Amino acid sequence: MKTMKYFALLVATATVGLGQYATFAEAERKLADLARLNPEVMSLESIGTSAGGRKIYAVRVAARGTVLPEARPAVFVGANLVGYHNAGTQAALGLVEQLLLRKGDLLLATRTFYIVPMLNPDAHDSYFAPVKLRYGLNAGKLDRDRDGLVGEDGVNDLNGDGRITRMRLADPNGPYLPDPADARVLKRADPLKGEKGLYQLYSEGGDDDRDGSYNEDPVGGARPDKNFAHGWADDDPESGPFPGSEPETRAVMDYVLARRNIAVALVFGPANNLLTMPRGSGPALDIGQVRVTPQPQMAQALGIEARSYSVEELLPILQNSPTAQQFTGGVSRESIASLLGAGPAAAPSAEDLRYYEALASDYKKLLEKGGLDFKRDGAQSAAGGLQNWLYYHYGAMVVELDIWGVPKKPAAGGLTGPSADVMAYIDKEAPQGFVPWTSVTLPDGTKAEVGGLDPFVEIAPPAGELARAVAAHAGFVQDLAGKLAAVKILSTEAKQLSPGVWQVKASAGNTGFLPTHTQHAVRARTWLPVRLSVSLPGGVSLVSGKTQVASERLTGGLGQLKGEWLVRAAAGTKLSFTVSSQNAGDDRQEIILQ
Amino acid sequence: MKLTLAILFALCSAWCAELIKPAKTPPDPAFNRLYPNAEVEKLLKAYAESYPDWVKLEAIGKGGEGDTIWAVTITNPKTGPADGKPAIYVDGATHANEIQGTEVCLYLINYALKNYGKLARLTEVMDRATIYVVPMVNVSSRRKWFTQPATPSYPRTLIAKIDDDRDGKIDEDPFDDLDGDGEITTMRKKVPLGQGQYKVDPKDPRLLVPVQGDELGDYLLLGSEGIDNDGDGLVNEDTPGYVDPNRTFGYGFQPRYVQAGASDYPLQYPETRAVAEFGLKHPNIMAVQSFHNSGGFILRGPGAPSERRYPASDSRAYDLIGKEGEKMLPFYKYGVIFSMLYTAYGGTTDHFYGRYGAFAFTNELNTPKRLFHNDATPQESLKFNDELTQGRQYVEWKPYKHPQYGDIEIGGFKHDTIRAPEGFLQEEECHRNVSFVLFHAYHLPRLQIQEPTVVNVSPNLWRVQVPVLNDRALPSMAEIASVLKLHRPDLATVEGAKVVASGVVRDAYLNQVDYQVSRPERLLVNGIPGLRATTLFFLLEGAGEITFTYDSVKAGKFTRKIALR
Repeated sequence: MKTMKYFALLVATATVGLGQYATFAEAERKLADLARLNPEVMSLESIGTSAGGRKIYAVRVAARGTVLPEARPAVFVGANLVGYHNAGTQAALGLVEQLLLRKGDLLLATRTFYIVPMLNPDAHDSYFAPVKLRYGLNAGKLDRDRDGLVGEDGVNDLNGDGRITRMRLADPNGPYLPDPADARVLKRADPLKGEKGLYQLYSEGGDDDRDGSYNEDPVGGARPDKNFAHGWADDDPESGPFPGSEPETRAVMDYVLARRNIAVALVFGPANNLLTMPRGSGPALDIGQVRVTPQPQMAQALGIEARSYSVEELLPILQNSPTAQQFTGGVSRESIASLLGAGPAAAPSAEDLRYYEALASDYKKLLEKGGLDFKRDGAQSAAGGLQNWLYYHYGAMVVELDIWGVPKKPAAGGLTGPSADVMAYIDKEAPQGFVPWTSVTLPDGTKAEVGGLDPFVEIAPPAGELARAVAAHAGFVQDLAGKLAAVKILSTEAKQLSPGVWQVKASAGNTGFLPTHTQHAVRARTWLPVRLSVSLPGGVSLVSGKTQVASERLTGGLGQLKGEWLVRAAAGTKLSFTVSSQNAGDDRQEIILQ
Repeated sequence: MKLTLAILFALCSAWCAELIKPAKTPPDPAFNRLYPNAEVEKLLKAYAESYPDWVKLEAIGKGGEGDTIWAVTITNPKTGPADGKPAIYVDGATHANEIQGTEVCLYLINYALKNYGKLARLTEVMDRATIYVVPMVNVSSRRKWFTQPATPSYPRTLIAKIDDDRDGKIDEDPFDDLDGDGEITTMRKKVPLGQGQYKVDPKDPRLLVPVQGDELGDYLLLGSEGIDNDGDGLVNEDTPGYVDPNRTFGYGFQPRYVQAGASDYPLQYPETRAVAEFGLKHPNIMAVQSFHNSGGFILRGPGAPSERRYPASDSRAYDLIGKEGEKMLPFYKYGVIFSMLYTAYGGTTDHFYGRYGAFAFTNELNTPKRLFHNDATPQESLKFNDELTQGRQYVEWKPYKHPQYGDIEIGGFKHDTIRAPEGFLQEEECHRNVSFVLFHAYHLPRLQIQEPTVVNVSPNLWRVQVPVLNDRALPSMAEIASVLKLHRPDLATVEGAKVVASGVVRDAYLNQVDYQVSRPERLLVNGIPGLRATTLFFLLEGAGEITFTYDSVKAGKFTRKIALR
């Protein structure tokens, strides 16, 4: 009876989940229902409260297995931090449902999935609002234009069509003119081609506070998707008073920081790192290219000249310096770079990009199989957003995916660039997606025209496409969970050198596809290294040295970690070797000295 | 009416202010000693009870082990609420081992309250400014510095579970007070000639000196007192702590691989979060002093060469105060953190300046130059110990049987030396630094609306020009605050007439005005620079008397009646 009910509900919710967008309240109910019906694999908790007092939910999906869920390699998925990427929330909810259908599978017994489907609850419902708009602010208070008045000039639905589009004002000095290839589209006038602008372009709304600016201070607080520390903009009031100031950003950071078993992270948001590789905002500072100039006091302490060096050049000089050892806690290329002020990386490491490329190839095949466009470009992840923080500061392998985008149009004359794809898509699939320009009069008497793209046409696919995109991405996440690094003891060996003295050896490797750490994490040192140790029973001791060796990164197939010890023990003694990692599992093997 | 009163008070305070009558006998602490946390708390409560109208004591957070972080607000209740006046914020013991910042804070509280009405210059500052004091930021670790075996450098950081040696175990190899004397000192070992890098200093056998030239060494320096607790071949490599509070602030924050000691994200820990949120809640803070030790510096940001340069007008204001400070604080040097000390991302001073637009200094208290009034060598430090403290500071070397190193000696300076001044020097250190705080506070912006010029343009139309003078060095809005849009600029409004146009006068004689194109009735002004007057322009329609209001986030709100005639 209970089972029947469960299936009925699961089917019902699955239909809603894949094809339709859920409001915050609907998603909240659905999560509660799923958790209630699947207590053995799903748990639901609130990990924080938004500025507007709404709960931030995290789902954990993991079946009973030999390793506790919090110690297993895990996949983290966070969705819709931006607030108007409702497709991301649907993909996260769809993933939860798909995983629940695999209750008895090995996957759920050996992996843990952490899913936060609504990272910005306060902005989530702008898609459903009587006046639809792209809105990303939490419900805090912000005087965005710093004029002493708070939230006094947001957008207005001037033409009463229930959505916020664009507004153009005739201006002989304006930078925009209608594109000759499609008069609906405005393009920037190029004076070098003799073009002359005709319009100023704004979002739809009057100058409510008569300060000369349109829509510059909407009701609401900061944007959580601009509130993370990497790439945080210090001159944009919307990015918050300081990085990590907002409850939404803090909740998700605390959540992942407490779960170092996360092996890979996915962000469902407006960017797509697999259709277009992440570029970063500056040099990658891969360790081979880093140059450092020690400050004079530091140079003096280390006994080197205060000039510019490559890290490679310094490594042999500082390798055996007790002072360098003391300052770094372990001399390596990476620790030298940190000590001598190489500064932050601003682009992904080239080595990590090789893995992104490999994942991209699988991803595109999956999209193609799902009947989804895979040739379009993806946007870059937002500076100050979650994806960047997860990669650069937290140190995870992380991919942001937009789930869906306007398909790439085959080149056929007329418009060029992204607007060509959008207009072709509108003409073919979404005629309501463009609002024709119509005249309006602003409250202050100014004549204007309102029109342009529907706020969601480029980011929220229609029901059929949404269902396909959600299914494809749920599949991709599950495939990815099968590619995680897994550390294993590969070989052990013991040889008696003289009575009671044994040389023992062990090697460990990564049998998964992904590396145990990103190359960037080797520098960021946010994860513990992979450690291989020998455990000695009572009465057994090492002739000398330490019981543990470590490696900062093991790549799949290639990397090996080898340990060699001289042990004083009687024949017949049982020793055990353990390889430990935070997010690639553990392995243990025993050996009997004989 | 209230505001006029405030101005009246400000003007006459020098001769008509009375001493504050305490409700009960205020505490009278000595400033030749350090105060453990419990005693500091008791003193703070006693000041709040003795001066209930002037002193507000509030808990603004809890340290990592539950100790209360206290904030003291001192303001003259007769001159308006604390938040309506320009303010200086002062804190101490962000680094728990940089201990005497707290005593300087206590000295400030004591000195200000007891000398109001007695000393004209101090009285003027206290009538128009608010003083916020957080004497113990890193409160839990500061408590432990007194109650547990400690060194001059430990405990220092926040209470944080960090696996320093990344072996999967946390804090498993701390310092150990091997000889049980309550101090973590240092270890040395005599070894056969040639096996060490040090030899005994021929001038003082308590000291070791590195071997030079063709000398052979017979001593090893083994670092702080401790053993290899976890058997990994390293000693004291994973001690409790290491998140450095002064690397956790939000402005210019960098992660740990760029800035050692940083947190996982800015202001992740309660102590510095409490400070940052206190700053956010008190936008009237325009001056900041965060006491550290040691070395004798008056430091300001930027903390790193890669950070945004400070705009020129702000640098000028900083320089004026910092350079005067060098005279007030013998042996102290004024300069920029990254060039004078070292690169440090995410510090208190950077955050208060770059996020709240306040002029922030860090004084590094105490310098060895004060021992014998010159650069103190290790030999001289010991002589000072012998001759001026009769040996109080130093634990003489004693033999010890170490489980790993065998026969060693343990000894060295006690934890309340080196960085903290000896008692008889402490009061002077406190007084000079508090004087610098008061000098900084003296230069909080002081605005006066000067005599306006009113010209009749046509019937009912008036051209009114109002000079607003700031006769102190700090501007009423930092230039960085305009650059980064940190808070509302100063706001000038007129009541009683219609504002047709408004602007800031660029040249009164050549009739040049920078007009505000829109909404002239809310004239936004990017502050009045230090030691200057800015003239505001209004074209008004109306007659009779108007009220002009100048409202500054940092400098307070001022009004003046102006007759249109």
